Amino acid sequence: MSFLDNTMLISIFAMTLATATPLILSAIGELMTQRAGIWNLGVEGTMLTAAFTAYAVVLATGSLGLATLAAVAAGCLVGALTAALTAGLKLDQFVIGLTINLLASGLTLYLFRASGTNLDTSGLNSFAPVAIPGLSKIPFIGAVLFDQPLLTYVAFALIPAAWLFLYRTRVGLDLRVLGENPRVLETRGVAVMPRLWAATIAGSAMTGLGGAFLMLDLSDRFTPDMSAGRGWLVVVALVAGNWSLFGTLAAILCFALLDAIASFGQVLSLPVPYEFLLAMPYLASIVILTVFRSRSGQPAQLGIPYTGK
Amino acid sequence: MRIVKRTKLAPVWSVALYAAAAVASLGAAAALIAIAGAPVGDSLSALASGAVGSPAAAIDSLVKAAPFILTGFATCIAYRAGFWTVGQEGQVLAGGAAAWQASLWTSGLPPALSIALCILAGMIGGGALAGLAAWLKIRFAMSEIVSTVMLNYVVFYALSWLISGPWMASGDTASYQQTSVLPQDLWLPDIFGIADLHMGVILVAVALVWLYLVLSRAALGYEIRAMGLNATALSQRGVSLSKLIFKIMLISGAVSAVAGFIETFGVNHRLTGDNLSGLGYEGIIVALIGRLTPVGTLLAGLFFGALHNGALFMNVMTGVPTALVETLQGIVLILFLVVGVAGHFRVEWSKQP
Amino acid sequence: MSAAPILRATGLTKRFGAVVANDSVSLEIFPGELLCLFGENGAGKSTLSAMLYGEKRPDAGRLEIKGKAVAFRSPADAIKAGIGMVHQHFVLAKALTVLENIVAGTGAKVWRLDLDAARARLAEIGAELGIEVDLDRPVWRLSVGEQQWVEILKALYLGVEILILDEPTAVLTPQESDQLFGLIGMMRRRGLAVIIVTHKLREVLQADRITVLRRGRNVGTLSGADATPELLTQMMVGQAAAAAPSAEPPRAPGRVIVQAQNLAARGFGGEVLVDDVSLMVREGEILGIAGVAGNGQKPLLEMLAGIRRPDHGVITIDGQSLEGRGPAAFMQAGVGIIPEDRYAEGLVGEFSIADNLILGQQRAGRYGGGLFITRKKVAENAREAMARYAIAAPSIDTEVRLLSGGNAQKVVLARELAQASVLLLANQPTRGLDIGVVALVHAELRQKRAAGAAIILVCEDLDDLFALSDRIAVMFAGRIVDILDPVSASRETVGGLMAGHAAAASNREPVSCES
Repeated sequence: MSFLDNTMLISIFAMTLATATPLILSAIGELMTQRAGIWNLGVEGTMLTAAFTAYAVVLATGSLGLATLAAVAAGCLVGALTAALTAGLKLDQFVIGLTINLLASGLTLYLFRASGTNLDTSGLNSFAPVAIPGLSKIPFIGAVLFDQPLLTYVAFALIPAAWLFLYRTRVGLDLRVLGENPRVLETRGVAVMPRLWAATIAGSAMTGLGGAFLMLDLSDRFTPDMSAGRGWLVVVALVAGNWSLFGTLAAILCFALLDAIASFGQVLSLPVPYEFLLAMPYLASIVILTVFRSRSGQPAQLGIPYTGK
Repeated sequence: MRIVKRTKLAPVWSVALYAAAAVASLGAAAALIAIAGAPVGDSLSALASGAVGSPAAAIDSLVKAAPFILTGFATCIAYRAGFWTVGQEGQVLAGGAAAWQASLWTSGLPPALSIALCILAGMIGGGALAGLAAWLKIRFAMSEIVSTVMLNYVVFYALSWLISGPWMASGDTASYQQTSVLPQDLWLPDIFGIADLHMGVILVAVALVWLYLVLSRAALGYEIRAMGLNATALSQRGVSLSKLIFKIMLISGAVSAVAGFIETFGVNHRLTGDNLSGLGYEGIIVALIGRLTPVGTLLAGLFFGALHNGALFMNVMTGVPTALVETLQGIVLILFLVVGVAGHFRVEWSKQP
Repeated sequence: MSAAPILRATGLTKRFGAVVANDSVSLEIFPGELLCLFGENGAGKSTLSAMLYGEKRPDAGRLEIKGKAVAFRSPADAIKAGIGMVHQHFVLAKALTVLENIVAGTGAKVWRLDLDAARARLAEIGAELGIEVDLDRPVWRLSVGEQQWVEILKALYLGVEILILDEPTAVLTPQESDQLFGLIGMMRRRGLAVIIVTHKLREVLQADRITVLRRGRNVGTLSGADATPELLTQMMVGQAAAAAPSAEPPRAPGRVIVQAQNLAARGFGGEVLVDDVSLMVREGEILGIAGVAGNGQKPLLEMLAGIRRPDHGVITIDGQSLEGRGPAAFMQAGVGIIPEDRYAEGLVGEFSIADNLILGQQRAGRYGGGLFITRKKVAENAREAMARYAIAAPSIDTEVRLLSGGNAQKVVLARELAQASVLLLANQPTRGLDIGVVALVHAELRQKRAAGAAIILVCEDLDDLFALSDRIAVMFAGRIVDILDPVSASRETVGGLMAGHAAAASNREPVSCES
């Protein structure tokens, strides 16, 4: 069977967009946090926590909407913890990020095992694809682009919205200034701390939304460590994309495509081992970072604790 | 009310704060156990007796602690120099895999020689992986945080492929892959014949002494500490930072690899997809709790090794999931970090806001 | 000038622990007036202006704006009251554009960013005052002088009536300083009250009134017409100026130790840092380098120490060709460097005095040679150094970051003087130090010269340069524009060269010559 079959390609590309959704949502959030100067490396842990929360709530209530909200709330909580430790106590951001990842990994595993459940959530209505009338009938492109779950449309629509926010609003400008030199805001008498907290919590909330999608749409069940490095891929995408929205999007689509190809790997009977396909996104990220080395977009304050009031 | 920075902290306060953190950790453990629906008192006592309740238990705790004390040491070496690697996880795998491959190649040789070569091979494997991360940083200015995490996944999948392919034990199905068992004469012998106390533990002791001496007295240790505190001044005084990073990572990777070796040759006697997982990350947490000192890492490692061991018994007795230990590690670290910093502040009540 | 002061401060006091930074200071300023706050480093000028701008809160005293008492909780309040401030160290987000920097943190609306209105306003202000800056340029592309304009525009954009400038000419060439004062004149004619904080005599004499601060107190206010340099100096230091140091006996020049030819270096953005510099220094000679900070002095010294690789050029030290080699090779050749920023570049703050003294030498034979460091030898070395240089500290194991600036500099000195057997490079070695330590540094430099080393001294204080140097080179825009003899050259000539005026015809030494 020819592996360049049309249906196969459509499936791969469609899946790419779906797989990319949690990454995009999280990346937009993490971009905000990093543009404010905070290296939130706990994205992985946040996503996992949110996914687990979504799992728990959907099992308890059967409601997708509630589960999604709960996941976002979980994201906010983790974000608040991160903000308290990094912006508030000025602890090292790398260490805190790592700790949050490990704490999330342990806690979700613990609660999962303690709950004794291992239920298959595919029976519940997951986010069904919402076909856009008319557009989804366009051959090839229609099936790929316009027959996706609602959150996917939301994710892609948020990208230009995020751009507008960063470059055309006052809050966005202040955010960017925060990451470059918070003293500028200080000397204008604009409070820095509340903005740092807001940026961190909002960023984690977005990751929470991504985690909800991961759990409720892309997966059938909760597995420990199901975030599987996606949070790290978000961080890599930001670096590779030089902290710009569109560069980050390009990197994410690349990872998602490789992921999708891997899922179809067995069917495609490609001449490489299955594990190699699984490793592709991670290898690709290393290659991307050797080629695209410019870090001129890196916020000047990134990682440096804010020492003002 | 205002939070004001203290200039000096009396030791009494320091001890009190850490004690408070310890108590809070205990409280968190109790809360978690309660959430799981198990009896708190019984669980905690099962935990304690499983950890150190008998000589056999204590030995098991020590053996459990050994690999992540080693990865903790590997973390100390790198983090003291300011090189934030998260690659200990992958280096453990690389070390175990390389040692395993060496065991296949040295099958005809006398066991002592074979084991020695396997250790060497493991160290080369782990060192090379770590060296790769160092090279990526030096040559491409690639953040070591990012490169090592990515490499961890790559190594994981590579090992997965090896185990399900060339190294798969004959007769195994696709559902659970593992290598065949190591030939018995390559199993690490027990120290003084004490059951289950394999010789790998001696390597841990050696590493402890070595690390302590290097950090406090060796020129290399001086350079490591200086680089972590002020790399600019160090490089302007003639020390090549790239060469130093390379050296540090080769050593760190080799130490992590030894952890993989002793687990494989001393405990598991075979490789599976996940019997070495978590050792790297655990070492990082243990080293951080131990404040990046050799003795601190040792103590923290021993403590958590005991907890791991005790948790197995507790699981059997009261059904509390063993993941309690990982959760506690994260909580303890956060509490210790907060306490370490909170001692520098005090609350001042004054008229002027 | 109207009769009522626009700002009146009465009895402002500020304490930091046991130190009294400002002790009951009173001053006032009238619209359209230029007031100078004058005093030495540490006299309390910066703290005072911080209080006027709401960055620090006074422990006692009153502040009145236009007759109404005010209490600022943050700069936002000061801005509302019509006060603006241009800080000594620019507060700019380098990666963002000029417009974004000016507009950041302002504006009534939370969401909408009205850039067009901002542009229009800035165009107005710019036209009135004759300032021209490209609003869409990222700030890191601007020259230091242009960044200064941006800082001023930031304040003017907010529509201030009182403008405080903290050491505004610290990084400007004399030409740019003149431009700045022209601008200040125009602002004054529009009714703005301007306060300049400075320690430079020449600027102070242009003011309408001068308030002199010494040790946190206001020791007097005089009008510009009455002020003379002697009077001001006396008020500033509390005694007549120190006598000039006695003349040194002449020395015969030795052989050429350091020879550099056609050195050039570029920075990260491709900007020229050092442009075709050639120089030579003999043994037993001090070559002083004068110039406004940022004209290439630091990159030049870095190349001569091996810290920076020259883009091209030749460096010969004591007969060895060393260009392109790293700092270790230069150290081995006997080169030492006292860096400009002692904590960032010369010391490891958390290390002890003893450990800092062997930084770079940790593998030397003297301290154990190779793998292990012999603690005893390190301790011996430290005790000797602490005695010789009178380093005030509880023990050799005291962490260097706990030392005062002067003592920390002594640690650097001790190490580098021992290291520099052939060439000593000193970059602003007396910056921020008090008089006793400055004298010690001078004495050590002289002693090093007498011992036969070559010394290159970069210093922003012309008095020090004239006192110590055998020859003075002036750097401007990355080039050495001239080399003068301090005995015959005048400060005006040097100052003019520093500002980029063409080299004078007389009193010139050849810039490079064969030995």
